[in-house]
Amino acid sequence: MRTADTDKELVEQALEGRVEAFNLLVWRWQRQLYNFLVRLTGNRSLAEDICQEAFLRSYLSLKELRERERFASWLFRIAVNLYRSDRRRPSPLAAAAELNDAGDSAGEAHPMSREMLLTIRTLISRLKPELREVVLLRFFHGFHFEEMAGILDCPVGTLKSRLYKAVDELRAGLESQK
Amino acid sequence: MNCPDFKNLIAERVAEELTAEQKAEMDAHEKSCSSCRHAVEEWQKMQSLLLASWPAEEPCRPFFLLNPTRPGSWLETARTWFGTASMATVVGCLLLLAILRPSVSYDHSQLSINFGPARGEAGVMSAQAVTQTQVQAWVRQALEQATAVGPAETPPTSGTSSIPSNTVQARQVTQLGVQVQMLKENQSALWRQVEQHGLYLQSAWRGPSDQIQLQRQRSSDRP
Repeated sequence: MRTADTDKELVEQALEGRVEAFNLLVWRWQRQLYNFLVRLTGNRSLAEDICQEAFLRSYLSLKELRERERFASWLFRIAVNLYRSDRRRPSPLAAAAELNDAGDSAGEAHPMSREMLLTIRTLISRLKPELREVVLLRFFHGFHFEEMAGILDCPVGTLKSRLYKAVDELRAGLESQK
Repeated sequence: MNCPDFKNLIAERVAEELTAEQKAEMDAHEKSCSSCRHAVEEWQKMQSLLLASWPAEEPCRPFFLLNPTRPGSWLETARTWFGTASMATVVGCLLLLAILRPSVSYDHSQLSINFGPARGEAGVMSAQAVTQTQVQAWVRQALEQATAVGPAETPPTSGTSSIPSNTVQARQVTQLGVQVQMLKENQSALWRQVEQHGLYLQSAWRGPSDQIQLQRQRSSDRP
């Protein structure tokens, strides 16, 4: 099993019972998924729980994955559904507080001012969940609109309008901070 | 390409997801429209800001799966057990129905469910025929044996005159009567026929009884 195996090949190997193939998929996508959930929830422990649950569920229902080359989209979809159904979702204010704590360590190693960094994170956390999901998937994780449509179970046109609306709100928020 | 169409494709433009034709059209429009060119720059700036505001971090722990069951196997196992249990339940019910063969009858505002070979009129008729035929055969056999056996084979009993050998056969006829009575109790639909059988048996019983009486008289008349 080479590390350069594609997601599709690893999924097929995992379906044959090779757990190490699936763990390689975990290794490949855990950082992205974890960071997506941290940015989405604003809570690291919640993000860890959802991340672990998403990997477990994806493993148990791996047979249901039709397009095996789209494992990442399918994994993110599971995570989004878990997030939406989780009643422990923190309020935007709580998420902002968590982000401010995180900003203490992040601002030191980054050229952006700590103030600007916290401002942007706060603005992201105050977006409506459906707008925040689109912003994170598009800007931070580089998903195409078709992939996002599968992850968020939403038409492409709706996603684009949400993205533009989110960018307008972020821009307006930044303008108001000046 | 006009400005609304251009702005509708800004996200794809920044992410370089355009087709060659779209890219050419947008490049041409961007050269001639400062507003759209500014919109693209603003979008790129926003993207850079967002990425810079939240760098990725390593998860606190790995999320590897340790010794999980095979994908879908727990579900398959559950399905197998559920399916097996369901099938076993269905087969068990069918076997019970086949063994007990309940018959449902509604007579005089009373619903009764009986367990036995009778089911429906056809089943009742066939049960009648079997019962009647069987009873007749038993009684006939008992009579033949009772008339064929002589007095010398009859075991003596205390306090009574010697009973001819047909006592055993008489006992068999009695048993037949008991069986008929059981049939009578178990099958309400055959009540009348069973009663008739009972009368038939009584008349058949009289035969051996009369013969027993006759034998007794003969033995008492002997010196």
